[in-house]
Amino acid sequence: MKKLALFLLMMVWGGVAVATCTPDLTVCPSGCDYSVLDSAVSDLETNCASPSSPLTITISGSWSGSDTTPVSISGIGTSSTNKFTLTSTGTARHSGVYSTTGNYSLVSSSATNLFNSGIHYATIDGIVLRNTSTAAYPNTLLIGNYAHDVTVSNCIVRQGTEGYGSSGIYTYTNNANIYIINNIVFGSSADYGAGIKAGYFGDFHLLNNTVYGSFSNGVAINGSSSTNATYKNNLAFNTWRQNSGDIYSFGTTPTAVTNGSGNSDGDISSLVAADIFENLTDDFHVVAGSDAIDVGTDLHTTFTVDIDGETRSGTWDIGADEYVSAVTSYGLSILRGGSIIRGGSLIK
Amino acid sequence: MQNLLFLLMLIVCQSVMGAELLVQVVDAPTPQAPKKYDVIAVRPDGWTWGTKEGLPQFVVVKLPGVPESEVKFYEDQLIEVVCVDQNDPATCHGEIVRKRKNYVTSKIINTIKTKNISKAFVASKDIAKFKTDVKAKDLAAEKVKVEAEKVK
Repeated sequence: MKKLALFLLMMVWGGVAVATCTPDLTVCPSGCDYSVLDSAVSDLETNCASPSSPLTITISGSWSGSDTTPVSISGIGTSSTNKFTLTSTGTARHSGVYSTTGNYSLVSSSATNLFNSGIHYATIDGIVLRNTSTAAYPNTLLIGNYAHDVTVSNCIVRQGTEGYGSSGIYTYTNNANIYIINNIVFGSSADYGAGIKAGYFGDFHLLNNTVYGSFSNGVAINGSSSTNATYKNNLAFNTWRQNSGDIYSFGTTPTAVTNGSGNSDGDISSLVAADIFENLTDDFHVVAGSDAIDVGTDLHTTFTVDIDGETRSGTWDIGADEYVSAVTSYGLSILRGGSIIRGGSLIK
Repeated sequence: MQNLLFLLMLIVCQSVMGAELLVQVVDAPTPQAPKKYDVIAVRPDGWTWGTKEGLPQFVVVKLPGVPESEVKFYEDQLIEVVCVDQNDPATCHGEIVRKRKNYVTSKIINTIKTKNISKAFVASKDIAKFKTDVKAKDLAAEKVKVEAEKVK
């Protein structure tokens, strides 16, 4: 009888303990697989370490507050066919403006990296991150050592309290095929840190990012980066410390820096902050007449849209936002007095 | 009537003050991924967990009367600061050794798991003991373990 009971117990235990890989997970405030992004990531790390299909985590829903748990991804054997994608959709996706309500946001004061991506073939797209740590070295988004084929796109990263050596987006060493595209990073306050920092011996592609108000460096590039690396169309501005720079390279200047703004190493240097953005606190969409408009390089073989998902066309702008001047909905009224009133909305 | 009021106040206070811990109860297969008894997330009492934030991978432990802020550090990662050039702080960053620094040794986790109930309270009288049963991993020891796990 005891043996039977033990057997039954083992059967039940076995049934409880065995979990299978669910490749598509959802995260939202209520009614989804997960309410915390890092517990969804833990699921994939635990059950999908050797995936046989692509893996996705989709964040949806309306968020009344931030997700406050730091995220780290490691130990998942992704491949060129079985990639990992984290993205947001619907109201969970930001509107190109920094906000921590409505859309999903990851905010933490933990003395560790806020978002640590340590796997290959990963895309992190469309999320808001804010690092409120005061400790040294916690990066807001870190692409770890030796990771390759990683894309970080359309994210908004805010800093402001972090300590020594912290960066907004930091792709570390020995990386290959790293694409940092259409991100907005602002308020980096760390000495020896940067808004976006490309590390060492890597194949980095920093394209069309907006970096504003960093303390030490805006876009920091290591001189020993791979010759395949490209740094194009980045709009970096108002870095505080003048001995560093808006776009700054440690060591030799990579020859591939083109169409970037800044007071060193960029080739466009006549920008005026007040003329560029909607405002300097949360909305870094470019305004009409900005010097950032139509001075970029066409990169359509790599990507075609801006941070708002709007198609880039004509001569590209620099920065995350492509200014769309088309006032498409003219309301045209001809009054009896003969005057014409135009009513329309500006599309950002 | 007074008793009812007291009970209501107690419930309100508990829901305002309490914390809930999401604890991993199985080992992930790789070194930096979550391990059994890691505290994956800390949330305020009454949190709406997702449909998969329970067994078989997780259990929820409720700590009545413990503010979330007091135990939020349970979510910390175990990191080591590494530098390309030791003399240049600009070359340093925090590298993850383990996904979580803290883990729960309390027997309550296994009790919840074996009873297959996913969620349970720690009684007020046992909370102090529970807190002492949350241990921090030692960086040096974990680095040795991680290297051994990588060899496997």
